[in-house]
Amino acid sequence: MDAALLLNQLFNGISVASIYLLAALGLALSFGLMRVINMAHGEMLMLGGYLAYLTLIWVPGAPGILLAIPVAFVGAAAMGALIQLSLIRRLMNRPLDTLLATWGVSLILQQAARDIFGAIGVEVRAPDWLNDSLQFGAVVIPSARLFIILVTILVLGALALLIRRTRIGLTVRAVNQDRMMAGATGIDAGRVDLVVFALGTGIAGLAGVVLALLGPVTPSVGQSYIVPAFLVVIMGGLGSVLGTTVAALLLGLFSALAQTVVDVSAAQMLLLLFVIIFIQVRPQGVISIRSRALDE
Amino acid sequence: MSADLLELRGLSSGYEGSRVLWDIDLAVAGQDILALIGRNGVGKTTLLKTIVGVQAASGGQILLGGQDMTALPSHRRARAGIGYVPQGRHIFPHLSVAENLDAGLSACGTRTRGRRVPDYIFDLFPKLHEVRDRKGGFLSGGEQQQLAIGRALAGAPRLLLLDEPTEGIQPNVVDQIEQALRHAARELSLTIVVVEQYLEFVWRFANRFAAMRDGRIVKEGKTSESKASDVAAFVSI
Repeated sequence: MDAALLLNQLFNGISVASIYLLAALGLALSFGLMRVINMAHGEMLMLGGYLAYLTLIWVPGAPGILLAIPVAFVGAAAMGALIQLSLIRRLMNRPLDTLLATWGVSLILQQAARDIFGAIGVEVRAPDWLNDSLQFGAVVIPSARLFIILVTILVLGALALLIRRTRIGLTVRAVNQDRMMAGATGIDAGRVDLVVFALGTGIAGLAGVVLALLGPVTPSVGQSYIVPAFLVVIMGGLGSVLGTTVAALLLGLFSALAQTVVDVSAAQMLLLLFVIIFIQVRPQGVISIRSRALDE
Repeated sequence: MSADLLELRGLSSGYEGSRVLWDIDLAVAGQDILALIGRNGVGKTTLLKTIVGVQAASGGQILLGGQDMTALPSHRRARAGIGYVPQGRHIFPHLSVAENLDAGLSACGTRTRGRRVPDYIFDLFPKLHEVRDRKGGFLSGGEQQQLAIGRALAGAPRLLLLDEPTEGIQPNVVDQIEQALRHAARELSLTIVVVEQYLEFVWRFANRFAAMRDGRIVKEGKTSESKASDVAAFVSI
């Protein structure tokens, strides 16, 4: 295998990791804080994808992509807030019921997308500069993938600042570390739950915009990313931002490098094997939730 | 409206079917310091938790300054002026000392914006200023206790509930905590309810006491009129 191919695949791996990470962050955040698993999380990606599609019909070109990012974020966050207020909040401490109810939401949203946009995917027309690629000798870097990595770095940076430097971040960490005491110091834990859940679904909406740049948006697009996203969350240590980031990179790079040796479906199998072995060796994940949780 | 800051009327509470508190009636006047005494397991901690709202009342009423708190969630009670220093301190372990104090400001509710932790907290507990960048989980027991009191005071409470503030703390720190509490009570016109096994400590600064047995209040009075040794029977085993 030559070095150029390896570099290309490394780069692909990082961009795949970026999507996994954007898809997984919301799952990790809400599991870390509320011990809630949202089965409709994949549909937030789908929603973000369709919102990007609609935005780009309305405003074509580069401004459309830049506009699609806040539109998808706000749209998916609003949907997340609705799900949190109408279902998850009412099913507190009932994890199995939450799983079932959010799975139902997932089915409803997929069918709604099928009815509105049709079962066949819609193609987002990315501006030309995103279809370009940068070439360094034999290494070819598609602009769209570079854009994805950039968006992910910005999201991670903004999230880290929010959690570490702001008042709302302080209340999130306090609730995460001691929910009872947070309430007794005057922190509205229910509101913190809502904000974190909406933030997580909003980030998934962003992931949807990014996906729309790579391929068609279909009613079931979320399903193909939700499984790797769950793997990332489990490997990352259930609720840690740093752990989730490391796990996303590991999985993204592993699957991209595996694809240089074997075909795509065999690479998927190897990926699952890798996760199983990793969890056997380190069941607590990359970062143990008991020691650090949302702090990192 | 009565002049009592805290009033409990027929308050009951319990865990999953077993009742812990039975028809508690208790009135604490503004700026009183009430010592709540009794053996282990008689319901002192449950009573504080029920007043704070981290434990639900199964019957009766909790009034703060005449306002009914019974149906409010704990964060609303904190914002109404109830400060809580729980048993075991419950410091946020991965937050720094400064952040723990900042979290305490949440009890100021919508007035939190732009607020800073008042300087007098560091005057009361100079040690906290020294260790302000350290994580709460790495503090000694005495430092954690001072931080827990400081965090409650940061929320500008009217009523401060303390659960065994001297438990597991070395004697010289107990003296410091006593001085700080006396000073804070006087300067901030605080009303205090303190659960304590260490009678000599609590008799030095409480002006009233209530003794509990089996989930009920069985004796009340002024600390100046009963000697600590006379009520020791309620505490010793």
